[in-house]
Amino acid sequence: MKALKSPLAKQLLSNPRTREQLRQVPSSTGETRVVELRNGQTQHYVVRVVPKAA
Amino acid sequence: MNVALPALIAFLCLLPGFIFRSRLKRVESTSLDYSPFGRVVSEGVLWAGALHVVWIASCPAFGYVADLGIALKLLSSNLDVHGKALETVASQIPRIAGYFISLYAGAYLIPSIVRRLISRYRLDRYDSDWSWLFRFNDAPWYYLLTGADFDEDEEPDFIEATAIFNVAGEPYLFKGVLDRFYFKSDGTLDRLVLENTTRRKLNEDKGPRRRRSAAAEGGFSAIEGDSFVIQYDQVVTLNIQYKKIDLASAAGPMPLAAPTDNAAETLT
Repeated sequence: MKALKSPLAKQLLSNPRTREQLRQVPSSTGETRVVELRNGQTQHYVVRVVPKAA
Repeated sequence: MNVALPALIAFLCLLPGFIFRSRLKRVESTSLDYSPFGRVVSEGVLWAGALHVVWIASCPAFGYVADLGIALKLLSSNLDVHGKALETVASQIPRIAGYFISLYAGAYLIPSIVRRLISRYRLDRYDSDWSWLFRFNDAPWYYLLTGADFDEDEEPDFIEATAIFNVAGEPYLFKGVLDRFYFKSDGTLDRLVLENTTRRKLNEDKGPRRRRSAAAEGGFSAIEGDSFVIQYDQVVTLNIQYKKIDLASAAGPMPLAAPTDNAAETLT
C-alpha cells in the first residue's frame, strides 16, 4: 500500500538538491528550510512537523 | 448423484452477502479473516437479505415479478411440492440466471464503489459523524500510514519514519521518508519501504557529534539508493512523524546545506 505522499513531496524528493536538503536535521524551531530551483525561479519551503490527527 | 438442492439454494442465496461483506471491509489481512465467526455470518446474512430486498423490489422495473413462494417450495422436503417448484424454475432459467448473475455482480461492484466513496469523502475519519458506521476498525496501519484520519485541508505532505535496528549487535537509527508498506497474510506489518534514508549509531547520542558535513549534522549519514527496505520484524521501535511542506518567504534563514547553483548563491 502506498504511504501518504503529496505531489509536492514527490516533486521535492525527485530533485537531488531538495532531496538532500530534506535530510537536514530540523532547526531548534523544528523546521527544515528547503530551496528549490525550478524553471529558473527559486521557491522557498518550510518543512515542519504536524500533530497526528487522532 | 444426489445433490442437497435446498442447501445449494440456501448457499446461492446467501453467497452475495458474503461477497459484499468481503469487498466492503478494508482489512490488512489478505488470507485470513480473524473476525469472530458469528460476526462474519451475521453480517453476511444481513447483507444478503438487503441485496435480495433491493433486487426483488427492482424486478417490476424490468417487467418481472419475483415469486418468493417458488423459492420456499424449493426448500421444502415434500417431494411433490419440490417437483412442481423445480418445473416452474426450469421454465424460467434465463430470468433466474439473470437475477443471480446481476446479484453477484452487484455484490462485487457496489461495495467497491461504496468503499471508494467512503475514502474519497473521508466519512471514516475518526471525528466524522459517520465514523461509527464507516470506519474500518480492522485497518489501524491504514489510518496511521496513509493520513486517512487527517482533514483534507490539513493533510501532511509526507511521513518520516525513524526505526531502530540492531546491526551486528549495535543499535542503529534509520530515518527516511515512508514510501510504501506491505502486510503479511495475517495482517501484521511485513516491511516498510523508505526513501531518502539516513542512518547513524544510536549510541552516538552519548558521544561527541561528528561534523563531517552539514548533511551529517546530528550524526546521520545518507544511504545511497532509491528505496530502503525495513523488515518490520527486525525493528526494535518505530517512530512516525507527519510533515507538512509550506511555502516560505525568501527572507527566512538559509537552509543548513545551501544548493550550489546560481539561485542559491543569490541568497547568501
